[in-house]
Amino acid sequence: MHSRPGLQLTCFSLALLICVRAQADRLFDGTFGIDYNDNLANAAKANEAVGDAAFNAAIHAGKYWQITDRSSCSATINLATRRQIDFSALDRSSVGASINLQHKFGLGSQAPWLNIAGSAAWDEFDFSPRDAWRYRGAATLGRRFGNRLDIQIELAYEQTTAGHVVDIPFLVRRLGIHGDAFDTVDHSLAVDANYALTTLLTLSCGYTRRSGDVVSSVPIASDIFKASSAITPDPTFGPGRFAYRIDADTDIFTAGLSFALSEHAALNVRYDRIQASGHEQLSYINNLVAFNLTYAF
Amino acid sequence: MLSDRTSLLALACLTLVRLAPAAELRVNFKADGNSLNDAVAVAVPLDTSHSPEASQPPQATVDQIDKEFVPHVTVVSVGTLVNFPNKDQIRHQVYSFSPAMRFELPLYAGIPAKPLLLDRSGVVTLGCNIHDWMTGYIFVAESPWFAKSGADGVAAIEALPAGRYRLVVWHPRQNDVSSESSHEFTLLEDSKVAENIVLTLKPDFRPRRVPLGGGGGYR
Repeated sequence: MHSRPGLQLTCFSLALLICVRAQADRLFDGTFGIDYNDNLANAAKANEAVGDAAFNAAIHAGKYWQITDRSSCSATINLATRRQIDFSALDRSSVGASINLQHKFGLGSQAPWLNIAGSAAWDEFDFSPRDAWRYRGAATLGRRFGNRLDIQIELAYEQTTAGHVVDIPFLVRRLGIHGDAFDTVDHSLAVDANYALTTLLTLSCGYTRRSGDVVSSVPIASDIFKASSAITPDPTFGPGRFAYRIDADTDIFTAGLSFALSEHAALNVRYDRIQASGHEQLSYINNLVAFNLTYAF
Repeated sequence: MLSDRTSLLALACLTLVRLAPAAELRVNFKADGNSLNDAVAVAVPLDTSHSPEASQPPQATVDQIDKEFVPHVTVVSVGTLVNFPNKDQIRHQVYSFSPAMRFELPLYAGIPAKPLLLDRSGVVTLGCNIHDWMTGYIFVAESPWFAKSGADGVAAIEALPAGRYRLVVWHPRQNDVSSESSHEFTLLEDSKVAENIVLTLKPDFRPRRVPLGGGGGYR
């Protein structure tokens, strides 16, 4: 997989050219929180699952342009950092940019809307073989139903391209499996609904079906290796372990609550249940809980 | 005992006072045990011999400040011209689907060229097509005698001629919006009447301004 920075930069610049003539509004949002994953290694076996918590912070800052009565675009610079409590090899900092084009099909808060988004980011890990470019493209269709309910459907494509690859010569020779385990591609379809329980408290529920690459960590395990499309040494979860990439279908169930502290701030809690099924009846289950504070203007 | 000069002066003052309408209606609005602001009281004369003079200027203004309509509730009489100046540094797009006035002001900054003439009584609900949380109301009264309550919950309608009236009350969050609450009353000359109105309100559900999670999206 190869990145195309020239094409991406051209598309980004063209989109900005369209936007720049319209009057701009500033955009900012910042998030700070903590989350816990009970199977951080994405292990297929329950006795190999390890959990860890992490502090995370992110900032998105940029501009928003209303191009016509119905269409708008925004461009942001995105900074993020993540610090694990135990497994520091997964500590990472990210810098990236994103652009959104949005069109509303009609007048009023209940008119349906379409959003096309693209983003690129460089993720730098404490364990450098995991460093990678991360690209995402998505199309989202949404609509409000009354003042309490809104529903969105999103189709997305995501790709990560590692900075460098570490092969295991033995596996390359015997099985033809290379070390690009951190190069991944996946497609997903998501449905999300948000419902205002009270004027301040919003309940969110969602389901995502993702098809594509999943990365897991394992000690030497020949059966799993044969099912993999890439394997590389990865001491993140202990010495003598390997990260392997496998094609899987993933179901993600999400539920969350968001409490509006003011017009600009909200306290959020979220639970994700992630169930992936790969080749050779390999399955991976993760439970994630996250708390964060968001501020935006 | 008053001197003749003082008596004549008092009589002249009394006469002057009697020439101007001086009845007052004070409506105390409450909801959930608290004073209620942004409640509208309108005194509609039932006596057809009244020729009400407009007690309000023929123009009104609804500002857009920090991505909100200010004031949230505006009361005007039929025939008022309303301006919608945009005091933000970004453009807004104002619209209404209300039967009292359907309109759309395309994307603009500053002050639109022409004010809007509200020539039908009723409620005009305002929105901005860019910022879905922006909601405002214009109550177009069928009478020039109206007032809006402040933080103390009091709407005082002054300078009312004596006569029979129908009191119309309205609040954007009142539970029953299919018919405005109303009842009849009689005002005597120079009288001061107080009415206590308790409204049942529904929650103020609006599209949320703060996003549900970080992500750089404007929505």
